[in-house]
Amino acid sequence: MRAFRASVLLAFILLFVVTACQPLSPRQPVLFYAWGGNPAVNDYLRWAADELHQQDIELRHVKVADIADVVKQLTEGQSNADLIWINGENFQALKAAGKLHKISGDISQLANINDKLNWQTDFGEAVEGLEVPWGLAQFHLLSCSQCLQGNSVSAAQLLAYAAEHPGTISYPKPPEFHGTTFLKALLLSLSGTPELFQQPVATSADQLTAPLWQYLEQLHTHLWQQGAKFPGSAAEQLNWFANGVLDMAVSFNPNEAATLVKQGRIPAGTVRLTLGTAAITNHHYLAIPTSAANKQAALRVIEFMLSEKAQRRKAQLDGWGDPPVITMPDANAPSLLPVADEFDASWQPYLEREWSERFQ
Amino acid sequence: MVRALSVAVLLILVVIPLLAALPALFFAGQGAGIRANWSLWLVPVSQTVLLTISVTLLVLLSGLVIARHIGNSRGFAVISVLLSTPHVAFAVGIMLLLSPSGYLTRLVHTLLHALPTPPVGWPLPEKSVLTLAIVLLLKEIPFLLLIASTQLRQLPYQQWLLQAQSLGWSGRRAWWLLVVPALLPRLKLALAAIVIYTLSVVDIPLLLGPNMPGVLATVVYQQHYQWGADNQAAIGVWWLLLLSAVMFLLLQGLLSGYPPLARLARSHWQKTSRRRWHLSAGKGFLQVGAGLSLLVLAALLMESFAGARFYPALWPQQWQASRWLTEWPYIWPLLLTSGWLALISAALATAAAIAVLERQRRTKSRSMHWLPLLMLFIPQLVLVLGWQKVTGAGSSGPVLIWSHVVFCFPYAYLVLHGAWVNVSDRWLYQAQSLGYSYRQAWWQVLLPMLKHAVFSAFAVAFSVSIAQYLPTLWLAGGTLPTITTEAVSIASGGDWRLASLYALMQALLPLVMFTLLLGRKPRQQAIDVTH
Repeated sequence: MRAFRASVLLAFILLFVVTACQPLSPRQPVLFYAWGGNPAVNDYLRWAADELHQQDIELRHVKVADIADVVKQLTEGQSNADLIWINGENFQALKAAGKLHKISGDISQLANINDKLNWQTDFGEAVEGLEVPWGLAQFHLLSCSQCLQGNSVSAAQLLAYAAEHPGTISYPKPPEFHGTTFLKALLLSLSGTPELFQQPVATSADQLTAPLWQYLEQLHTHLWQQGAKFPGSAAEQLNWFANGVLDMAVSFNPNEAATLVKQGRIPAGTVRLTLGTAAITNHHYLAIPTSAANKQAALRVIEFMLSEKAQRRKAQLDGWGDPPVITMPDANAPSLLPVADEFDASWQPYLEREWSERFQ
Repeated sequence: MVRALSVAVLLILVVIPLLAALPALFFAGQGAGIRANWSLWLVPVSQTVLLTISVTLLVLLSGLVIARHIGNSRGFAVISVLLSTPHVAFAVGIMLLLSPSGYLTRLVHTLLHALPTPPVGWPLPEKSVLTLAIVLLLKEIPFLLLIASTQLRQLPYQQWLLQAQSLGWSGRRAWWLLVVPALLPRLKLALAAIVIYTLSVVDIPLLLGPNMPGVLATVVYQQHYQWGADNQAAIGVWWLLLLSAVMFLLLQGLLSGYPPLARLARSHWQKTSRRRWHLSAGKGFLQVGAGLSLLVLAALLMESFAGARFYPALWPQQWQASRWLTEWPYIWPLLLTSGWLALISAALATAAAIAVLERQRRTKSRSMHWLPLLMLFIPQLVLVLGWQKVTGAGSSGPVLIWSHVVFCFPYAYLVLHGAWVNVSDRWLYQAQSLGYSYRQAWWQVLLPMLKHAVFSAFAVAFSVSIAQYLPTLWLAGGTLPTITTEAVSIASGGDWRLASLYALMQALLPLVMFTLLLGRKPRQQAIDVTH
């Protein structure tokens, strides 16, 4: 029994040591809240942390299953995040709540941003210096080489394929954002007036989207499980695609066909193609909350993330493969897909609501 | 001294946590004015009701069937392994084995060439209420068995069975009509804990549960993070509380309804022939349970070394040790954090349970009290939401340990209760007559006699702490990642090879603890220390 007593004592000593040691940590860490579900991104951030360590900055990746968690905490004034990875409605919510530092003036690397990129608006919301682009996303499909063919597939061609191969096509269930973007891509392919979707939702929306709902009525009868069930996320759809349940998956990373094959996540021979003639393109950003305890170090982290070294490493196909946002003299990353502009943010809730009213 | 200690424990681990959670209830109060969005809640609520009722009934039924045969057998080694595997690791493993593109279908295809593509309409889809129910069942039956066995020790049930046999009753009849009516009330609190766990667990349904829409707890969890004026999460909290109350009533009805029925049956149900299926069912569960937990560990191990592995290949196309090599430096600190957190929490929780039970022993209050178990009857989600509002995010160290102890303590109490309250004062008196002081007698005679019970309680508390997801994530605000929070976040990306590695590591710590503490001999008291 002496052993038991000793172990209880030991536990108390441990407790004391651990609590006592915390203030002694040499550097105040930069708490970077970012999605933790992608091993390639996690690896990249480990590399970045090692690099930053040499600059006396301790970058700590706080892995979250959904960054919306943090946005919620920030808008209620209860987060210890120093740096966050956001875009779209998360940015909009934080901007509306006034929870972000204006940082554009503090980042010298902004001068090197590729000026062909339309990063100043984030889902129709003006960035106004509250966030800084880190990488870009292009919505497209992944398919096996014998399945969907060519560089692009129109809405009509997808329907024809689904009718010919029933049960092999599906998409993540909206409001999952890949699923909602799938709807947007179909809208662009079906509509003759893509520029109207960069405007906020207006009274003409019902008329504009009518072809989409008619189209989906037809498509759903040919979908996996006749559209009674959907994959819950793009990751889930990717696994089903990799194991031959489905003939297509969806992706936001234009290099993912290459990187995922290298990781052994999807079979060799997987091809990428756009749904419609171009890929809906948006950016993902870094931002510093007003409540950040370590703003100066967070700024230096952003500066590093936009450096040529970090951007080049980020684009490597044996790693994350996220396209660079700065101009690089000898960039040999694979070419981007043809660009289609992102919809105004108000379309997101509109499409989600209309979809769930019809198909839920 | 013991009295003060016992009161202090209950104050710190039950009353204060309850008071601290009140803000969440106020937050839920704001929900009263919000229009309930029925379409959002209808399916989750009905799914949850269905799940909770069926899981609880099945756990109870199979628990009682099995308990009859393993009351004091070596089966507890198996139960220990099943109990110690954390839920999330178990869930990932089950999915690898049984999902439509899992090992089972691959094996069928390899043997029969019958399933060239993953089967449509496979009974266990990757995410469904059924998959969720199976995982919960496999994890909760061993827990009920552990409690049932400690409670059975307090009943002279072997004598009852012998007497019944001498009257010509079949063993089965004697069990169901004599022992079970006496045992059931003693299982009430454990069953209530199972009901609440099933109702409110978040991490397992996120992984395996249906998502279109989810069960109640996951919808509340997700709604909590939606912004907007009408915060449906508040309504969800009310739903959770309402369902808890309804389920308690049903449970109470079931438990108080059974003994009169048994009495009726005793006088009207005539002798039946002996049958063996009970015996085989009991043994069968242990074999299936042992086999399944070994298979789960094997599947996790294999997947963690796998390169590409696409359906219908049974074995990975290539093996990779690199994942282990690169991840290990990052996993090691996580194991360390989880480990010390669990060691301290389990030690404190066990000591707290001993304090409360020692007072019960001295006051001769032998029944299981509900107060120490109170925290198991309130959905964890509601509690942690409330605590977070009081302490804020990013409070590491003491607050986090406290929250873990709050959840470990009731389990330690449940496990320790049977043995502790029934130890006879006779031993203390005899030791004192041999010249020991009371304190010496307590430390050197009483405690060693109860060593096994204490070890079991410590091991269970340890694995409860390891498995804590919500308190660790929300109270530490990400500043203190543990193997469990990382495992859940990595699983959200769907790369099961990496997720398997983390799940395996998560399973490792409790497994080591159970083996160290309980593995050497079967979980039995060397001497009968009861009256």
